[in-house]
Amino acid sequence: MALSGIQIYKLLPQTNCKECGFPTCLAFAMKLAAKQVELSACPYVSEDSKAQLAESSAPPIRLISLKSDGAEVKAGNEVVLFRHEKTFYNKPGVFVKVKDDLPLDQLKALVQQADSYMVGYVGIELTVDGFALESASGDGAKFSAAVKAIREVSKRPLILITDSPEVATAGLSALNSEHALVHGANSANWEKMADAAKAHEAALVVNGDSLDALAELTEKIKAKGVEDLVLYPQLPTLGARLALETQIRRLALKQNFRPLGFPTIAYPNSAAAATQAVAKYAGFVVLEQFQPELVYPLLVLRQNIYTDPQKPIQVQPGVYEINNPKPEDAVLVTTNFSITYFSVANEVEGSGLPAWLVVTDAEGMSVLTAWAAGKFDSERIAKSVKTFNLADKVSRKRLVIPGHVAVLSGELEAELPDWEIRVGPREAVDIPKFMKQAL
Amino acid sequence: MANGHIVIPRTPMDVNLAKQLNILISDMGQPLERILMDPTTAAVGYGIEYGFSVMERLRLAALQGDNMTQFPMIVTPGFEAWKTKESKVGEGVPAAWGNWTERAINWETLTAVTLLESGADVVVLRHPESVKRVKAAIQELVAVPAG
Repeated sequence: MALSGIQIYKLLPQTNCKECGFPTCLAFAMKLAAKQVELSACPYVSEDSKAQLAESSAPPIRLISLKSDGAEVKAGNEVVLFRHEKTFYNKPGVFVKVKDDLPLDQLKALVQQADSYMVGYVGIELTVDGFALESASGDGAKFSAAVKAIREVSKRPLILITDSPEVATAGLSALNSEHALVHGANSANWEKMADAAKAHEAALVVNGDSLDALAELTEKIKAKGVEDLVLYPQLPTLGARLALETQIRRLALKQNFRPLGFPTIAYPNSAAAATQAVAKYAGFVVLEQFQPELVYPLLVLRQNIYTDPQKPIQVQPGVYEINNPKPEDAVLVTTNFSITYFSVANEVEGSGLPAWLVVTDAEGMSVLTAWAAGKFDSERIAKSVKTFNLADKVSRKRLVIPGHVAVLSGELEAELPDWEIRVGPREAVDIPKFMKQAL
Repeated sequence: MANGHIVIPRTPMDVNLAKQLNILISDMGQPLERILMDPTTAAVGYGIEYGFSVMERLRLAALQGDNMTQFPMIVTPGFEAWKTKESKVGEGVPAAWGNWTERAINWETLTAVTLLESGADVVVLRHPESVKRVKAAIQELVAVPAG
């Protein structure tokens, strides 16, 4: 049972030494109770208190971290059911499934293609996180050869899919000091699977079609000494999976129900199922195939859902030089909301035309939102033009403002008397045409 | 309102604005069972997280008994998704974006399903293939599991 802030406070040194980063022990205790800090931040807590607090301070959903040589994928450690309550922390790892009955050179080509995949979104480079190798052959030697073949072309973490403890062991033996994930244990093979996972320090997926089945198995496996578990709600429909995923997370967070305090894994068979996995609670998502046209929107969606709602994604205000502008080239203005900035910057860059892009500090809001909130007005724009010393950089004093704030042009002319103010298009996608025809 | 139609109050991704407009419309005498609110949304990659959370909050408020949020929600993922460059442009884009047609349909499908997951009751789509895929997803979502 979770302890309250006051109960935790009684177990702390109560010296208010501030070394944990909080002004008082009570403040730290409150944060501990809310599971927002780790007990290890306190250097003076006694061993006795530590043991008593261990249960209460452990995160309600265990952090599972898959490690390979140089890469890591984390899942779990989530603290809310809905992202607006705080934020979601660990983005679900996106894995691509491959099978060991493919000829090794084909397997390698497939893995290599997905491994080198990289796509840009608002300045972030998105990639897939790892591979899930399924034993289609049922043969340990083939499985181990396939694991080695993957390791020749990719360093990303692995999920090994087999019901056979022998095949799992063969696969795990082919890996060097990695923390892989084995899928997995069911009511028939769990003892041997737990042994195999334990021997190779692997995490283990637990299969089950109900809360009871999952909870019963995790308890048995934990008793065998395997702590890093991942739940696989094995259900046929989106609705049933959504219900079980929600119940698992709710029980873990609200009731601190330890047997289900683990991240989950999903094997979506459609774009819709993959969407649900990202939106509703999967910790690992294994795709049947590698398709860039699905991976791209899925990784972007994941980025969106796991954005901290309390912090708008911003870019640094300033003057951005696009396509090496010269003093006589165009000057465009926009806000520092990252999606706004990247839509504009991408279009200008794509047009091939050189331009100076002035990004004003609109507190991370888009053009219309910032304008409505009074964060993108003529005063702010004029201030940016002055503080960024634009007059020294350009010879042609002509400023293009977004079409959505055409209403500002009069005021701006008053604020910046020696500048010509032009109204650009409303949407970023029309900028290249505007630059070619109107500037 | 006068002819027995359903009214759609549309507000820009904000819980309070949505509720306020619902109150105003019901104050004008519109029966509650003929209000279908549109909290508006954005496509994947263009701020869908705002729409997603606003809809979750509206639905949670409704379930907690706030009767001015207890209306079904309609959203327009088709319109939003087909505004994006990822759906509209097939040439001169990175190879990592993949096949154009499939990408565009995926953009619409992912946007629509994300909104269904956050509580949408009606989704307005554009591409017939997205309609097919989203319908299949809805069928699975509402299927009542045995037991």
